[in-house]
Amino acid sequence: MAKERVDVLVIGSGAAGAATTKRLADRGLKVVCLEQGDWVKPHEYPSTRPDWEIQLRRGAFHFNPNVRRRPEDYPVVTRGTHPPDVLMFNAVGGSTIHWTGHFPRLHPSDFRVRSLDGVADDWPIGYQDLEPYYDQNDREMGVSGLAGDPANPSRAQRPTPPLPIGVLGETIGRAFDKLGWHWWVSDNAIISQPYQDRPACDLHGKCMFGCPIGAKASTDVTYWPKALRQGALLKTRARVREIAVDRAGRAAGAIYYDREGKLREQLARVVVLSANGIGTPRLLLNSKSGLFPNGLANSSGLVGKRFMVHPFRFIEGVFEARMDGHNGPFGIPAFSQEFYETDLKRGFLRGYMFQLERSFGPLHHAWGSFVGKPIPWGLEHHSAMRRRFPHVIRLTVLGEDLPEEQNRVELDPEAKDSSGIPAPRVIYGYSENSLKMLEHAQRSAVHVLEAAGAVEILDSGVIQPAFHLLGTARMGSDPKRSVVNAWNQAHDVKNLFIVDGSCFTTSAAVNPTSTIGALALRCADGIWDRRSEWT
Amino acid sequence: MANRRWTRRKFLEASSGTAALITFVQPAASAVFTAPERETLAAAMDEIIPAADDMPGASTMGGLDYLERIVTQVPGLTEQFRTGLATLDSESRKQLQQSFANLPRTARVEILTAMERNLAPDFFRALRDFIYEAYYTRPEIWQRLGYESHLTDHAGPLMKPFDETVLAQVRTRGKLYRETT
Repeated sequence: MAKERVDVLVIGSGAAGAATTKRLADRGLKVVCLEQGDWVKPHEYPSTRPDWEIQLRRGAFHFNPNVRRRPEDYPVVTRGTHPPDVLMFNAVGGSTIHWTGHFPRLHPSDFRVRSLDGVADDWPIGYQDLEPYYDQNDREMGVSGLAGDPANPSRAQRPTPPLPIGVLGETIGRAFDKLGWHWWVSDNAIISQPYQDRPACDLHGKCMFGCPIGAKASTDVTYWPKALRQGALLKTRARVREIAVDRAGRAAGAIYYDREGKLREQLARVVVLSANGIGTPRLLLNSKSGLFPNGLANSSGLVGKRFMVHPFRFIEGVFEARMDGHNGPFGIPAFSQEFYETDLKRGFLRGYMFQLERSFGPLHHAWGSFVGKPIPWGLEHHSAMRRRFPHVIRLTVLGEDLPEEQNRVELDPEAKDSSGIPAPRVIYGYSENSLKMLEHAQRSAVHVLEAAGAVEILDSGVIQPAFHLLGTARMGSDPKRSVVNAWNQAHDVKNLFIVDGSCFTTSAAVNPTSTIGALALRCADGIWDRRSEWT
Repeated sequence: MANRRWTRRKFLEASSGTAALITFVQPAASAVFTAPERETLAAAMDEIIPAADDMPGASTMGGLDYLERIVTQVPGLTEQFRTGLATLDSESRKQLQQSFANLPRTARVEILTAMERNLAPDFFRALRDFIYEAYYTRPEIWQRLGYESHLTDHAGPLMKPFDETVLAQVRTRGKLYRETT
């Protein structure tokens, strides 16, 4: 087989890989992307079937690869005092296939946590550096929302207006107002009006089980069709074993298994790694060589270290009136950042946000919903069910996770994927700061739910950490204390770029996907601006 | 907590209450469970989710068949159910000299409660959750519950468009974030 050297090889086709590929293909570069999953066909989504809720427990669309066990998945071993429930998806679009679409941005202060609050580290970039890329990513993904939120820097008018917030949004909004607390209608990467060949959201809900109409922005329906039209090449079921290096210590390309399990090599002038906060350190640690005995780009020893997931807690209020949480897009009609910025009087550093969330259907409620409180069985069952469904408002607490050395991703000595590639092991425990924050958040949540008229409160307690995979190849200016620089360029390997959740210096207290997309677009511009160095 | 044992006297008290022995159509044997196992399972289903408040019991309207289909699809579940149903029945015979299905309803509830609390909590949880699944995945149950599922290949619900005026109060607040350079 002829070994063509392409301009750029991108590993992973999710939120970051898709954005980087499209941006560089727009410039006329020859880009190849390797993705270990397949395209998901709209009719395969379980959200069209009456038993869609069973995917919360088992099946090919379960969020956790250890449960789902598709051939393209890899196992993730979990350990520690709070072993995480690892959620990710391997397909064209990556984990945007099953995300909720919530699209907040980091605050300016999130980039300056050392300077402002004396913890963790500042990012080597600021909000202003990322702002134009946030805007660009909003336009590419398609966003609904409303500009003017006093808790965030002003931003351009959203590409489409806000989605309906429903009875539950209006109810909780009045309660936030009553307490004088901040709230705002959310930015979601779900379009409320037709936008760029995509139809408006039809308010089905069930977004986490795939949006077959394409109103939710998974990158298989946003960036990818455009990238392919621009000539990018996407190879599916291509599972990368390692990033190859040449004698000079530069990235030469990747060695991967194709659909038939045959080992192949893809050569490139520049390699971009976007395999998520667990997959990325796994691949770097698996790319050992004489020049890089501790794994690629790991002279700092920080590859895999400082893994962050966001402390979460769910608090539900039960109301006498119907809240109809099963109607409308699943994720985040509204949010509150009243407790986002640091206030030392609260007894912890940094902050958290409340997300108002909708709910799944009757089965998930019967099973205990997010709070793990099943509807009782027996004679009381039907009346208890009718009291709770559909009468619940859920507030999800999303707190900032501070980076800690002992929270980490490493290679498991035994577990392997179906190609024999060593699997990752994640070790994680909540910090004291996170636990204090979650207690404070619980009290505030109860306060606002009661102000809204809740007759009963259901609390998940401290739950197994889950959702966002961050921090394992951190950005920084000092090569001894970080893995990539301000342009996502590996300090140790000049033609290797790492952009996804792993490059986050700190986690902030917002969902990361809009920032991942913005960083990827900015990284692509950095690669383009330095093209004389690789072409 | 202590495992409450049944006495002959208590049994008589229970069976003289509101729930007399309930007769129902005996489920036929199938590929998965024997006829007595199906009978035990159906009786347990109708105690976990009983026919009440205008809602049907869990074993009816295809619920039993759904559950039987599902246990073969989840690795290990058929065995767990077979063992659990045997425990349910043997406890009933040991304590009350009757098969579980032949017990009066209050007695069935006592036995199930003992299963849940200490005899077989893992099995009980699986039993309860799969009965809930068999019940709440069926459109005929949704209809009675008043749940419109809006599956994604059907039309979505009608919702009131967002009204900006609800944000009037919060708009009056000053800047709530910290500026940086």
